[in-house]
Order: sequence, then structure tokens, then C-alpha cells
Amino acid sequence: MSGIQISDIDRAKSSWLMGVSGEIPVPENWNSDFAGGDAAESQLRMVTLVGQALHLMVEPECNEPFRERAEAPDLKAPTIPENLRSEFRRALQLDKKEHRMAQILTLVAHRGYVSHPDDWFPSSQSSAWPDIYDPWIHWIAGSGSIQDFNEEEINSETWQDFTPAAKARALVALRINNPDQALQLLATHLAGESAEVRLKLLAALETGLNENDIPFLKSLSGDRSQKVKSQAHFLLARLGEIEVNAEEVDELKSFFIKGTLLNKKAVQALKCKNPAQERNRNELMQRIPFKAFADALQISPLELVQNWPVNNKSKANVPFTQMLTLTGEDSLIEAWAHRLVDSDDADEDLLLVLKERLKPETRQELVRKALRQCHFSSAALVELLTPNLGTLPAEELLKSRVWKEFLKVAAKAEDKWDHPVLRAELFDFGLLLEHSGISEIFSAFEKAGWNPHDPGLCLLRLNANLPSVTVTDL
Amino acid sequence: MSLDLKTIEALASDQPSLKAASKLMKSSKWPGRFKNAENSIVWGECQGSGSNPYRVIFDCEEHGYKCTCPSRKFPCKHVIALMWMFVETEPDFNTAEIPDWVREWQGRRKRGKSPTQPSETKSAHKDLTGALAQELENTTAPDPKEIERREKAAKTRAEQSHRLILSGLSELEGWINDQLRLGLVNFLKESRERCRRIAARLVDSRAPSLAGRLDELPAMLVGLKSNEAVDATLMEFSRLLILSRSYQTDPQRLDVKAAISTAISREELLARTDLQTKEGHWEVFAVQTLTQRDGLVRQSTWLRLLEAEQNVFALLLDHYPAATGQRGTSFTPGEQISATLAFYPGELLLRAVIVERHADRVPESVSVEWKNAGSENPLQDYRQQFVKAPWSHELPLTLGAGRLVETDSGQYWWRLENHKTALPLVEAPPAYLIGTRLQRSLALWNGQRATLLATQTKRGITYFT
Repeated sequence: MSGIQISDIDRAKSSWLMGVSGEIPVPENWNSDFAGGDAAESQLRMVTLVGQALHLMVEPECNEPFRERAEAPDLKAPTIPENLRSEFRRALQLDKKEHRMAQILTLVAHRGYVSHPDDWFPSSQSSAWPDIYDPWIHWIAGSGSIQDFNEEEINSETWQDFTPAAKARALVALRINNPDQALQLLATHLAGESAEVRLKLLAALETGLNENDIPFLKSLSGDRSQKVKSQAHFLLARLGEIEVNAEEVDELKSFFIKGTLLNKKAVQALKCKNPAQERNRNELMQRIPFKAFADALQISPLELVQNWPVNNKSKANVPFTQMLTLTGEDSLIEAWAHRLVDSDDADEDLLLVLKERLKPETRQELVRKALRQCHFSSAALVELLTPNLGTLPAEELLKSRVWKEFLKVAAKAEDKWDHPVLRAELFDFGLLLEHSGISEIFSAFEKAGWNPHDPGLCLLRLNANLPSVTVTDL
Repeated sequence: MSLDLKTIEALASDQPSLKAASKLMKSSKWPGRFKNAENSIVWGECQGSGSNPYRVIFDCEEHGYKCTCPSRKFPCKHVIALMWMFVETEPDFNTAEIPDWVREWQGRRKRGKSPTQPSETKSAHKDLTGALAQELENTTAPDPKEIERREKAAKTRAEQSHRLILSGLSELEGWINDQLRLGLVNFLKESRERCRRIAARLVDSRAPSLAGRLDELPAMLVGLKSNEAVDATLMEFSRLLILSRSYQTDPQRLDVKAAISTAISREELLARTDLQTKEGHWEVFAVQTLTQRDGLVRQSTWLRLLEAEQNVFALLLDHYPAATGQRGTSFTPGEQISATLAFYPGELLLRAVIVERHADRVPESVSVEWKNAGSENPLQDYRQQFVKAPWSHELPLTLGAGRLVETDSGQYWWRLENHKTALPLVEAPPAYLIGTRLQRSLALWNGQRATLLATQTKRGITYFT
């Protein structure tokens, strides 16, 4: 058969598109033997030939330009070991809510690993994902591939090469050893960042906050973003550097009564007459520095923290805790956190409000104490420990109230497989525990009637088999 | 590991189950049988009528069991047969490490439950010896006159089928002509109804495979731009016509017959003197499950021979009624097996069944790397395969080093590193692979678009199904 031209194919297609009443003429350069027979037969032979030509002759052609992308970057940490990837994938299926997946990723990141992109890759630019995935988030945003620099390499020359999250981490690290250098970088470069990024980077000054920071913080009173201005204001308040409105302080004071109870100074919130009054009180507590409030009550800030009623029913507890978080000194934050844990009926959410102001070692200490002493849920303890997940020794859990309650519920549960509370607590245990002690937990589970191969235990199994990456492994 | 015949009798639900199990007591039915004494677990793969074997497990201690067959009897005949063979011929079971699919079943089982209790129902007497005796009776040589009668009846049926098929093909060709005459624009608007009608006629004409193709044609056209849809229609019409004329020229040609009516059975295949087999280490690189319009689920398991210099592919094809519910796949992508496969006859050797599983594990030196280089000329490779079976919907390809790129209109393409070839993809790939260098890939090409099935990057091998 002599040459079939694309134009012949196109002509035939055009005819068939709208329909033909008669015979489609066979192209002259097609073998006349081919045509043969009646019109119907000729038609069938033509469509066979055209169809086969489309298979064999036509090469796909794109009529638009291709958009090329840089490769998704490698992350600094190694991927989860191959033999644990299936367990990891199963764990991610346990609870598909974003914050739960983020917790698993945080545990894994704390051990020094990252997900293989086949197993998990961010589909959105959510801030829930651990910072270690920042280069992927950056890549998704279409910002290209960015090299993940080491934190100590941040300076004016490399500033633009760091992602916002990497800048924030690097500045916090720099604040520990060289707070003035970090301050200088902020002073030079902060104005060139977006509002969201400015807010994030400014938080670095919370580390090692000192009077050298005052001039810069004051300069931010002209910032375009209200949130940045507020943040700078609160940092100045912690340093005692803001002017306090005396009338507002008096107004706030009028909502409280100070007395003596069992030879101790006691402060009590008066019941608000209506919601508007309560709102007003709470707003004042957001604006007025903690020290100014204590001064108005004529007690020291520490005494205020020590004597504030931890009663769970008080509506003033939340604004009190927020006020402390915004403008209280670190030592006061810690004191209040301990009081909450020592109390038998404190609201666990108050502790979580304080979280960002607590050092990691303090949070670890509070988690251990809470397990022994109080009724805080395992979920709250996970939140408190984050991002340092997977660091709680197993014996702390085994002698805790949380564990005893868990076993009680498990003993009564008809179907442990489907019990939502037990499933959620198992998930939390998987996030809390150090890997080395988990075998004791499994022994205890077996005694309680859990099959060690139970799919619901996959997060614990993952944790148990995932030791931290050592320097020599990198 | 303790188990005896009395226990098996007691566990079986009725005598017919034992009888059915006795028919499976042949090692040829079991490509693999294994045991693990430490865990008192016995497992195996039993070849059913499909290409994928059923996976069977039995716990000798707790008498729990599992089978992937759709039977509603518990235990099914496969479980009974496995237990029975274990009691009578334990040395035929190879000791092995427990594979993942058995471990997963163990994990899902509720510990602390009392062992599965034998049936207490006072049903008809259950007796293994009786079942075996009945099976023996059925296998004794039948009367020669009976054989002659059966053969004559079979010949009559075959002639009748042939006539019906020819009639169906004639209708099909007339139908294709009508679509061209009425215009493809109209066909594309009404493809569902029109294809359904001709498919029904083909089923009546004993051409169910061909009918299935007409049923699936409308779904193939969904999502295509109009010019692509026209081309896809013409390509499928041409494939159908080639099948039709091939059958008319040589009705005994088995690959054509399979594509029109039904393939030969596994037994018939294995009995052939010209059987083509291939022993080796195989990698499962894709498992696809599709619910067809005719109510059947089609499960396609794609394998590739690991050590071969030239690419050798195999396709295990299974169909089962969607009404029986989701069936677990026997294999998972990435799994590597040591097996002998037998191919269905034809110029293009692709569709196959597993004849025998071998206990040896795939050596690491073979399993770690994809040894065969990907092709720099995938369309050429496709054409070489296609001309051997020019009715094929899609054929497997290897692709050389390339990258995934996208267009402003949201289409994704695979492009060879030297930019000489680019193939549009059926669907969007995983986001993180865009821009990544794909060292080599495995795909299916349907003449218009590629379906990526697996790819190797610096991060390892990714399986897409």
C-alpha cells in the first residue's frame, strides 16, 4: 500500500464527523485493491485503515508550551526506614484529621526522620505541618526549589535564601547565643517581609528578651500590621516599657476583690452583671500589663499568681491566663502552670494557653506531674509535649491515673476494636512515649487482652521501632 | 501443630463442602503451600478458575481461617482442602516466614476468643472418607458411548456458537457503518445508549468479550477533548473490525476467539502441547480493579520478569461478579515472586496464569534494581507489540529517563530527557513527581494517552496503583 497521508486521514475524519449519505471517495494514492466491494465494505475498510494509522503513524503533539518545574527538594533529614514505611502509612490512616496527621509527622520529625513523599506529601500549604517540611510547602506554592540551609548560616547575605519558617528557627537559635546579632538581622530585614512573616519572625525576640530590644520594639509602633504592633506592645509590656492608662487599671481593679483567706492573700473575681460587662473586663485584661494589674491590687505579681483561685468554674480564669501569657514574666508563667497541674479540677485548656511561653523541659516536667496527679486527658498532654513528642518514659504512663482509667475502660469495653475513647488514647500513647519502654506497654496490653498485631497499635509499633537518628547516621 | 481429620469433619458445614474440597486435593491446584510451626499457621494459594490464585490461611491452634474466594460457606472448600492436605501430606508444605498478608490477618483476628467450635448442627452425616469415595466414583472412566454422545453434543454446540457469532459480527459491522453514516458527532452524544444496544445483541450472539468492549467504549471517551474522542472512536472501530475479520478468516484462532467470546479454561490451557511457559523471578508492578458496566469486576495484575534482558510482561486477568463484594487482591504492587507462568496462545504473549509458585525468595541482587533500561523509543516498542495483536486496548511500555511536565490548561505529559518524545497522561500524577527525574518508568499506552504504573527515581520505586 503506498503512502497514507495525514491529510487523507483528516479528510476521511471530516466526512465521518457529520455523517455521509454516500460513499467516501478512496484517496487516489491508496491501493485500488483496497477499495473493492460495495460502498459499505469500502467504508469499513477505510475506517479500519484510518484507525490503525492513528495507532501506528500519528505521534502525540502538544499544542501548548510545557511548564517545567524544578524537582521537589530533598529534605535535610533521612526518610523513615524502609521496613517501617508500611506501619507509618497505616498510622496515617488511623485518624485522617489534619492535626492528627501532623502529630504523627511531628513525632517522626522529632526522631530525626521525614516521610517518603510516596507515603505522605503535603497537599496544601497548611501551617500544621512540622517546619522540617517547609521546603516542600515552599515548592507547592510554586516558589521553586529552595535549598534547606543550616540555621547557623543565616546572615544578611543568606537572608533571602531561607524560607520564612527556616528564618524563624534560625533566629530563635541565634537569640540563644548571640541575641544582638539576631536583633540586628530583624532590624535590617523585617520591613521587607509580609505581615504574616513579620509576625512569625518577631516571635523570635521572646527568646532572651532583654532591654537591648526596647528601641527596635518601640520602632514597630509604626508597623502597617496591627498584629505586629500588638505583639511588639506586649513584648515591651513584659519589659515594663509601656505607659499604662491609670483609669483603665482602676476600672479593671473594680472587678475584683482582695481579701485574706487562711492567712493568705486571696483575689476573687466579682460576678459580672451581664455579658457586656464581662466582655469589657476581659478586654481590659488583654490590654493591661500583668504587673500593672498586680500593682493595682497592691500585691506582687508572684503573690497574684500564687493566690489566684484555680477554681474551674471561674470565668475569669481564661482572661487571667491570657493576660499572664501576653505580658507576664517567664517565672510567673511557670508558677501558674504548676498550680494548674497541682489542682484537682483545673481546666486543662488553661495549661495549653500557656504552652508557647513554657520551655520544653518545663513542659516535659508538667506532663509527668500531670500524669501522676491530675485528671488531664492524654490528648491535652500530647498538645503540651508537642513538638517534643515521643519523649515520655513508659513507667511514667504505667503508674499514672490515665493508664489506670484506660485499663478500667478497656476491661469493660465489649469491643475494644471499635471503642473510640480507647482508640484515641492509644493514639495519644503512641505519640507520648519514648521508644525504648514501649515493650513494657505491649506486655501490659497483652495481659489486658489486646492482640499485639492489632492494626490499632500501629502507631505504638512505629514508635517502638523508630529510634532517634544519631549524628553518625546523617 | 495439632490438627486431625475428625476436627476437619466437624468444622465442615456439610458433606457437599467435603466433597467439593476433595476435588481440590491435587498439588497442581496449589501453586504454593507453606507452614510456620512457631505460629501454628498454615497457608497456601489455590488456583481457582481465574488467573489470580485464592489465598487461604488456617490457624491450627485456634482453628481460625480465611480465604479470599467469594464463597459464602464457612469454611469454604479451599480451607477444608488445605487442612486436609496438611493432615495427610504435611511434608509437602514448605516451612517459611509468615508473609505480610498472613500477618495482617493475624492482626485483625480477635485474640482471647475461644477456638472456632465445630458445627453442632445435626445435619446430614459428614464424612471425609465418603467424600473421597464419591470423588473416585466420578473420576472412573465413563462409558465410550457416553463419550461419543458428549463429543457430538459439544460439536453441535460449537457449530451453533460459531453461527451465532458470525451473525453478531455481521450486525456489528452494520452498526459501525451506521454510526459513520449518521455522523460521529451524533454518536458521541448518544454513545451510551447506542453501545448498550449493540452490546446486548452481541451477548445474544455468544460474543460476550466483544460486548464488553462496546459497553466500555463510552467510558473511554469521557474526559477526552472532542477531536481526541473522534480519534478514540475510530481507533476502537478499527480494532473491532480487525477482530471481526480475523475471526471470519480463522475462527479457531484462540487469541481472537478470546477477544470475541471467551478464553479457553485454565485446564485446557495447561493441557496444550504447545504451551509456552516462563519460569523466573517476577515483579508485580500494578494491580488494577475496574467495575464494568456488565456487572463484572475486572482485576488486572501486571507482572514483569526481573532478570530478562528484553522486557517480558505478563498479565493475570480475573473477572468476578461485583455483587459478591470487594475481593482482596492476591498481590500487591512491589511484591516479587518466584513462579512459573503459562501464557495464553497468540502472536503476542501477554495474558498468563500462574502454574507454580516456588518457595525460594527473589535474590536481593535481582530485586533491588530495575535492571532493564527504559526505552528511548517507547512508541516504536508499542507498535511492534501492537501489530501482533492489533485489537489490543492498551499495551505495557517501558519509558527511558524523562520528566513529567504540565501545560497551562492542566494537562500532564511525560517527556523523554532528550525531548524527542512526549506522551500525554491519562490522569494527573502525584504532585511531588512533577519535575522529578524519572530514571525509568512502566506505563500502559492506549494509542492516545499513557497510564503511569510505576517509576524509579532517586528516592526508589513508586507504584501508582
